[in-house]
Amino acid sequence: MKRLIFFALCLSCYDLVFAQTVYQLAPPMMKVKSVFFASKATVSLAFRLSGAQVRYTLNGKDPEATSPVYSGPVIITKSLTTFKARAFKKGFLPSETASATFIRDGIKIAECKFSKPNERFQGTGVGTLIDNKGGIARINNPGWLGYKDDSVEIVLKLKQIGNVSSVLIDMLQDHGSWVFLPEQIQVFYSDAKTREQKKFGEIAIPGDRVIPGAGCEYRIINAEKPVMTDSLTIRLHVLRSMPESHPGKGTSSWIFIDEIKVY
Amino acid sequence: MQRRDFLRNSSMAMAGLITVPNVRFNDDLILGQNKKRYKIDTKWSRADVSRFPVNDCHEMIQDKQGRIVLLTNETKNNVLIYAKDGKLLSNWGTEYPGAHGLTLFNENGPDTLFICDNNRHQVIKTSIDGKVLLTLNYPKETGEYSKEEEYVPTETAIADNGDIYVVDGYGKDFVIRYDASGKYISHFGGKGDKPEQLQNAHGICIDRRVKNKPTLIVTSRQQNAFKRYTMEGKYIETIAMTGAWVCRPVIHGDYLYAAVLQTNARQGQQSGWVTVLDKNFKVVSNLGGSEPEYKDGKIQEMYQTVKAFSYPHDVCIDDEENLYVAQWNSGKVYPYKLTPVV
Repeated sequence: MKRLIFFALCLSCYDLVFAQTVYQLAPPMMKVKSVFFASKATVSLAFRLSGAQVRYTLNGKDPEATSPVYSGPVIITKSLTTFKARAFKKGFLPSETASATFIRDGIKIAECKFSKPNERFQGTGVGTLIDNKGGIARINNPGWLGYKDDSVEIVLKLKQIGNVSSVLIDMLQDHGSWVFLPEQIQVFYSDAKTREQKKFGEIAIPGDRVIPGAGCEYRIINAEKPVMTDSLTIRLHVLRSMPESHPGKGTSSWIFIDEIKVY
Repeated sequence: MQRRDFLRNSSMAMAGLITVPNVRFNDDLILGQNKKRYKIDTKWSRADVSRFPVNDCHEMIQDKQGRIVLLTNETKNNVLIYAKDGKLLSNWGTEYPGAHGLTLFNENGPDTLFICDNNRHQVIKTSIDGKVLLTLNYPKETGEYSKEEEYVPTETAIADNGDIYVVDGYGKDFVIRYDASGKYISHFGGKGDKPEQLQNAHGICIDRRVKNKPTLIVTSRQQNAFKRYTMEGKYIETIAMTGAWVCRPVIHGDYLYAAVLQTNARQGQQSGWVTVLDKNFKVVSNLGGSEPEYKDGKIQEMYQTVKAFSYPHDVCIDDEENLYVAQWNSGKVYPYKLTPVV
């Protein structure tokens, strides 16, 4: 940290003495049809600036000046792979990192029923949560189900009875648009033998601070041990009180969902 | 577990400082491509910030005396008048809290200005030194408006015969045409998805490049496009500006210049640049933006490449081909000046 401050000081001195400015590059444009995929996903980049190079990683680390240079579309086959890209050019500060995590299809879902969404954000129809489309962090992007309710219920019917160990839910976080993650997600399953509704797992998500910008966020709910089932019920509980530093403080937020995976 | 939007960033800019050893100071930053390349000077204005502050720098024009006139929504001095070298010459205006659009018109005599005020829901015509000559209230004659709040004018364009075209870019997106005295003539456009309709009709200008055949160019900013109309308001065509939140079109010589507020894919992230189109509405240069690329005659999505600007809001080109860039919501900075690189 000390080194960082020192460097920053040096920079500002240069600026004062020589009235020179060092400019930063903008992040490269990432082009992705969807971050959800059945067998493979393709990611491509654009950055049309003469003399610039875009470098990328697939290991979750920010690209550095020694990372591979992007030269053409990259194929992703492994689930939860994070693709990161960054622009470099001599004489400029490298860009911030553009990033996307790709999510592979899981156990086949035959049917997905969900609470009635807000009329403005109805997704693309009955299959909207299981269509392998989306992951685009703009509220107006088709595919998002938007809710302004206390809770949202989603019932999944799997193609067949089988072992289920986790459930992934992809959501939007866009605090500027009053869209927060739910404060709690509960998952229940129907026991294949007894047909009893049983608890599968749950997570709590703190909503106590305001995060700038917009992003897709996924959460995974794991079962303690795999269960035999063909039916799952997911309940998302809205953040009831947005944080103090938000214009909507004390009131409840929106929830946006665009995809569900079962593994 | 967390995943940021892939179109946005998640790492700190400063990280680059530490990891890249060969950072050089690019004091002579050249922006743009082809024949429209410029050197940027961010310290052009020599105004004393403690006495003559700015808020959003919305629009600029050059008057017939060669002075650069800036409109800001800072009510200590809504209008700052500069020499081309950045020296502040004079200032006026305290009554324009929503000062947004600034258009120059010369009526074969003294210069006049047309100011669009978002907050006052009015268009005000003044002399070059600030004397109010005409005020246009919300256009209830159109039958489209029931109260003034619905009308948020952003820009004007003045025809050679004095007809005034106002765009209601933050209201209902109509273009309203008046005669020189302010009498309503007609209206067209309006908010919608049809080709002749507009979404965020932020700017308007008169294209006089084809002799004796003037046309109107109107911004449809949210659609990332310009739309062309006849002077009577008949829709001609749409010029796609894919990826670019274009502000008002500014024509100088054979070229059309426009500030781009931001990159469509990176909204709210200070991702603007400046674009230049030739006579055939082909993008020839993006200053701080991607080198233009056409495939099958279509412009490919454009974006910021160098963070030279935050949210550019208008450009002004002077008689020596220099370019001035006024910015919105960019830390109350004064305009930048860019000089052509030959």
